[in-house]
Amino acid sequence: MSQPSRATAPWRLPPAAVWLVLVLVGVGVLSSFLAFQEPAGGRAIRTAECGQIDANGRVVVPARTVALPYAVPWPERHPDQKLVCEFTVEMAAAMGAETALYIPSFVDSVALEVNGQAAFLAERYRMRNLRLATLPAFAPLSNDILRDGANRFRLTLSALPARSASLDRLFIGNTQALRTHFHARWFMVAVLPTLALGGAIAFAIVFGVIWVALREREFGWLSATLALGVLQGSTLIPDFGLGPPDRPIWSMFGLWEVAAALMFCRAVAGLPASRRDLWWVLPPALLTLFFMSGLGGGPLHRAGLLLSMTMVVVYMMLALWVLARAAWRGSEDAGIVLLGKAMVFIFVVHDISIILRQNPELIFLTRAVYSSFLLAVAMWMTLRFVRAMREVDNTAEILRERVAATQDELRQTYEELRLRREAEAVDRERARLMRDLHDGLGGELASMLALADSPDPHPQEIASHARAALADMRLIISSLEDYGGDLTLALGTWRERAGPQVKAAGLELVWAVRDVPSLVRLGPAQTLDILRIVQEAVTNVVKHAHATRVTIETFETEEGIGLSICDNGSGGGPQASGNGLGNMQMRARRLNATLTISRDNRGTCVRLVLPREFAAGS
Amino acid sequence: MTAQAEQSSTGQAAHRVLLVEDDPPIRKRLAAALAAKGDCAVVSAASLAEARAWLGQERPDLIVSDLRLPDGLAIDLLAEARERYPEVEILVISVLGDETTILAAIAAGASGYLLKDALPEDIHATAIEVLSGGSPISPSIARFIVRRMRQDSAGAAPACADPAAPRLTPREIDILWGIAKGLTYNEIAEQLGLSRHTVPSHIKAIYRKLHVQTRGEAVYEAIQQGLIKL
Repeated sequence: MSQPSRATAPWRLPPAAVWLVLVLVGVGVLSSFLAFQEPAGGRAIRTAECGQIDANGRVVVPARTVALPYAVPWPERHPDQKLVCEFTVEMAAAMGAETALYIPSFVDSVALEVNGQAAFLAERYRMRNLRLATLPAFAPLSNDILRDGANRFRLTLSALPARSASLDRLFIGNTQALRTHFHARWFMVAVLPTLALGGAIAFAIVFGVIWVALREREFGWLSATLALGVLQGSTLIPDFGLGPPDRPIWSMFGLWEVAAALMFCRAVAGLPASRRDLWWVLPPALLTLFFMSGLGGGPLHRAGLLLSMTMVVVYMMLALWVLARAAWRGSEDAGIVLLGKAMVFIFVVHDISIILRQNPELIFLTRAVYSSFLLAVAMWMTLRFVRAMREVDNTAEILRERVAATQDELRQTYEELRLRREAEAVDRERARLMRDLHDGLGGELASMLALADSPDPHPQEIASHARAALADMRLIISSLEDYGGDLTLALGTWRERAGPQVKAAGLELVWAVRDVPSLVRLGPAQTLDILRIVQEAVTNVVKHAHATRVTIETFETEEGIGLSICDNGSGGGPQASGNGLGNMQMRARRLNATLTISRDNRGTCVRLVLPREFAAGS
Repeated sequence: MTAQAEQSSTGQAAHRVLLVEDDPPIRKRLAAALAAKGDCAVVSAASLAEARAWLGQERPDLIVSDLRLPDGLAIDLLAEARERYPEVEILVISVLGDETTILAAIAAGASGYLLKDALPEDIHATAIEVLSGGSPISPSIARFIVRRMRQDSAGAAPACADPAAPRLTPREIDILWGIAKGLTYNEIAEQLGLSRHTVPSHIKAIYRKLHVQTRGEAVYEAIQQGLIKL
């Protein structure tokens, strides 16, 4: 996940990296210190007479004095042969009570005879062909065996096929003092690696789950690396009889592990995954097949082993190169892993050199250091995961804030828009009300005033204007109510107001109002215009038509919803009050309706055809 | 007794009417219109206090009242009168016949309203109709009711606070629709195929149910608490 932005970030080593390096160096130094330290207060046996015998006890290589530690050189090695080392120790009787023999390391099993008596048998844990592992042996010596003066010790060592029997220096001394060393060494070479493997199993599972959930390559490859490492060197997992002791099948997982580690490093370095990556599988696969087939005997086997070790080194160097390049370009992650990997590399080279040089000290450090490295990387990855999670949280928080801010902005804009629209609507409505008041009420009131002020007031006329003014005001109020688009309801209200006046004028009102479909967007303005047209038409009938009956009817036509006001009068005229007719036409235009007035000897008919839908915002 | 009685000339009036109105010209006009035919004995009151004092002693057949008086709203007074004399009929006086006034009138238990400028004959006719057991219902009131029911059925906030309040029958709703569209009782009876005499009894039933319902309404509460000005 070395994001491109990281490349430009200034180089800085986070505490995690320092911590990682400290752990690695600490483990390396501690294990070396414990492994190399010679027990004080013990008698060190540095030389012995060693020879080789075959299975039948015949001497193959005659005994000669060699310096310990000693390993059977390559040319002398043979599967069935045993290494026999003898030495003599002078002992005082007093020392016999608490004496022990301590062997820091050996290959692969050792039998001890003291003064011709079998005293001790130790065998390395053989379940796996654990090449990079050494175990110490500790043998308390009883007084029955030891005697005053010279004691003859005979050690018989045998190796598993394809391995060299070898023996480290020997120490004889106080049981308590030597046991402390034995325990320390045991902890380093047996307990600690086992603990590390347990941790590795746990982390492999955790990262596997993370990989499944997130699909981030790093976690997947790290999980694979940890799992393969566990398979390679674990006493925790039985081998199910898959690995014959003469074939380093389980050790081959080391190569697989290094290959997986290389993929992990490529992922950390931010290299893109591609199909060509599959080629990296080829060398481990071929070598594993080679060893499984059992073809390799003798020199071929050795060549295979050499090739395997070479591949380990090559893969590690490739990983180092990939990491170094990414670190150079500014990837912090790559830098951290590079440091650890380099440390491990040093120990791997050290261990391989022990194997290649037949170094009998058998102090293999890679296992411990590498396990520590993996655990350190695992912890660091966990930290990174947690950090990423926190970043996601932060991002979510920031997003939430931004969304909230945007929402506020939008709301504000919307509010402004709404206020402006409202203000416009109020303005429009005010203008309309002013106009309506001016058209009806204002005129009537002015007439009333004029009549009342005249030297010869006419109460009847004043009353008639007052009644008209009141009627108009009710008309305006009625128009403000909500009729839900139902024209008949609006007309019903009009009848309630105007009916008594029509009756008072001696006219019969025939109410032929039938149900008609709702008018869409029938608002106060439209209602008022319609009712005023009705009012005007009826007023004309009352004033001019000399009629006895007025019929109000609603009907539906193809053009829209119709409304007619017909009388049975003489057809006298609207033209007599031309102003009223003009007003009606103007209102009809405003409604986008058609107004026709027909006249014949049977009377006058005002027909208003309304659209089914009124324009919005009018 | 501070209320000033304007007895009809004959003195043998069949109906006792209490008129509560603070504006003298309108009071006189209405009193004259009501008493014109000689079948109503009209007692006028200019304030709630006067009306309450009179009601404390006598039982009217009809109360004709303005809603807003110098000493307060008449709603409580009318409700008290209704409680005390369940048989009493009530008409509310209104200038404009607007929706708020109508709602307040219904809440006060009124059977209808009178417009202040109504023709004298109409004033008298309305009063007599109420007194003779008819409950005139105006298109405005009918429209108010049917629209509210439409809102109810459309699932809008239920206007009816009391779910146990009696519901209108389909026939009653048909009648209300007819009235809202401005049809007369005769026209409604004709359209619905009813006897013309059954329409008023239906309307009386509507009023009774309505009165119960309206009492629980938020708008009524608002009027009582002075949130809506009459």
